[in-house]
Amino acid sequence: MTRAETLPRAVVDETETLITPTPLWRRLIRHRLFMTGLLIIGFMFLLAIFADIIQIRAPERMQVKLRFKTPDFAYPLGTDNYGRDIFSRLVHGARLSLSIGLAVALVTGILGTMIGVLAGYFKKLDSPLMRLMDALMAFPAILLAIAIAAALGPSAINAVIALVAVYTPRTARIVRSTVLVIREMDYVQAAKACGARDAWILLRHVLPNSMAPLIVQLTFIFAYAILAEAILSFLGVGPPPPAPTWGNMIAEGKDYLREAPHICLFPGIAVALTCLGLNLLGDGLRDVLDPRLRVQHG
Amino acid sequence: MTEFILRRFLIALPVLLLVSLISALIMEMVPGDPAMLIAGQNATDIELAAIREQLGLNRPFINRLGDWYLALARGDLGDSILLNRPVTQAIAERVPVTLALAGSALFLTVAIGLPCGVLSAVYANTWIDQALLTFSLLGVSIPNFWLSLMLIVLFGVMLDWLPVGGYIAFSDDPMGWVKCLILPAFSLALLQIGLLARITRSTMLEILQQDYVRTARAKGLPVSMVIGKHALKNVMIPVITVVGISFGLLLSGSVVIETVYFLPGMGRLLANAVFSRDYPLIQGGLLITAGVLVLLNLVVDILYAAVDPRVKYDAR
Repeated sequence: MTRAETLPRAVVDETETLITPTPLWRRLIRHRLFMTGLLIIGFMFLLAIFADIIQIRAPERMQVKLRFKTPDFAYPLGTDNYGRDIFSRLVHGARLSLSIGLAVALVTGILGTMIGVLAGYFKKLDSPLMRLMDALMAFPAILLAIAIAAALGPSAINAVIALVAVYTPRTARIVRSTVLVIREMDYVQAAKACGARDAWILLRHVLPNSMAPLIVQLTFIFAYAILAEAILSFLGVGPPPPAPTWGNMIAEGKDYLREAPHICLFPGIAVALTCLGLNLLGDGLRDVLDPRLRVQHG
Repeated sequence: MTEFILRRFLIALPVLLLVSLISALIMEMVPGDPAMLIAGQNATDIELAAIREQLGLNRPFINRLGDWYLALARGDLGDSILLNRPVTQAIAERVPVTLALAGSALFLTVAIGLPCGVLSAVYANTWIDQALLTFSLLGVSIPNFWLSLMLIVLFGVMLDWLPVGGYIAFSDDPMGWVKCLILPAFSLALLQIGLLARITRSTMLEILQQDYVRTARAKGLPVSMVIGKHALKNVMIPVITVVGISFGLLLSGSVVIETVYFLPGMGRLLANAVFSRDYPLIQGGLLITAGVLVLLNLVVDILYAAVDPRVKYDAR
């Protein structure tokens, strides 16, 4: 009967956090994984903001004599195929990748909320808007992003546009499903009965109450966007070289995998670490803001 | 049920129409056209005009789109400009590779993700759970194209156990086929393994709290029996949905993986088509992939209803 204990133990853990209402920030601070994520992302943002101070050399400066140097004291992460300092490029890459990711998350958030709220609140708009979103979602995500980015031409802005087109439908769908529930709530019905106009109800009641799942979703989109931007750069439709995006660095290093795998290694770790941080952040926010969503998102 | 399937089909049609329209519009945004690529850098304006005339590129967008739909009604997607072959044929040749890749990745996803999720739930909050959680978090964070490169360095170059890329057909050499798919399939599956494990875990945790599990334990069934007979069956319901979605994601994810491993699949074909502005190939390819994904969603919905008699579709 010793193994019998395994079952109840699984049952206990999920419930205890829900019993005592503690302030939001305190619950977030207590969430160990959230704080780990915050630390990682905070660190990455510091690197991005102070890139010009932290860098060892200008990220574009080539020195042919110093090609393929493995990490040592002067060049902590080594140099690449043009003799550029990988550490400096990595730090500037943080600036590019984080700005692109943040821009995608913000624009997606605004557009997705607008479309989702309109579709969820006004029944007449629901079908046409959501069919358009369905159509955009029917494309394989990366292929759509590649097609748009290639069509518009490789640049940071166009990468943002391509990724916004990919992630807006997914956000709109989530916002819409929240709004559908809120629309039927008593407080919305009460406001309607009091003669409140649609715009007022949307701004005062529907929007604030649909924020929690949106914020969680945007954190994950931030992470996806950084991964996807790396893919776009890797395939040559992101910000064109010599821009030090992490994807570009991996793409340039891939031809020298045998001789100098370190060129590829570090930017990949940077991408993975940033995404890990954002995922931890998103998981934590979801646990604290919106425990119901736990099952839906992996 | 039949009515539900019919209705979903009817919804899918305008979606596919929009899909084809969007892909045509994206191609219109492209500066430059395939004629410039075919003619090369030194072509004169007259040569370019001749090629455009030949391909029908100089006619208005609406006319070209109309012709495309007319041909589509006959099951004809036009000819690929660069491959000089019907689009349907070019795609049909590549489908087996992509299916092999996505299929083997799906196999890995279920074979690894499902047991990991169940284990995590049964041993919730022990070191096993923590380790599996860390693994799945890494799975969603590591860029798969980068992982591919690292795996190629490790297993292809340093250890020399597996090929660094390329594809061997199953009919030519079954062992070689398995070998050349191991790394791509694993790189592609890693993300989905993590997602499936986490969803299985949370579903399993919920099920373990149900009355029927407690009853089964109370009447003296051993733990393994309770999990195997009662819990697993109920875990399958959400898992089927996730697996269906995963297969769609694996199909679209194959674009990058096929490029890294030089697999001659559909993803790489379409990516190359985008870079070389092969309009008919892109338009046809996007329509087919989108159609497959839409169909897949439909199949998942139907399976869902078939597995779980509690799901009712009449209410909607």
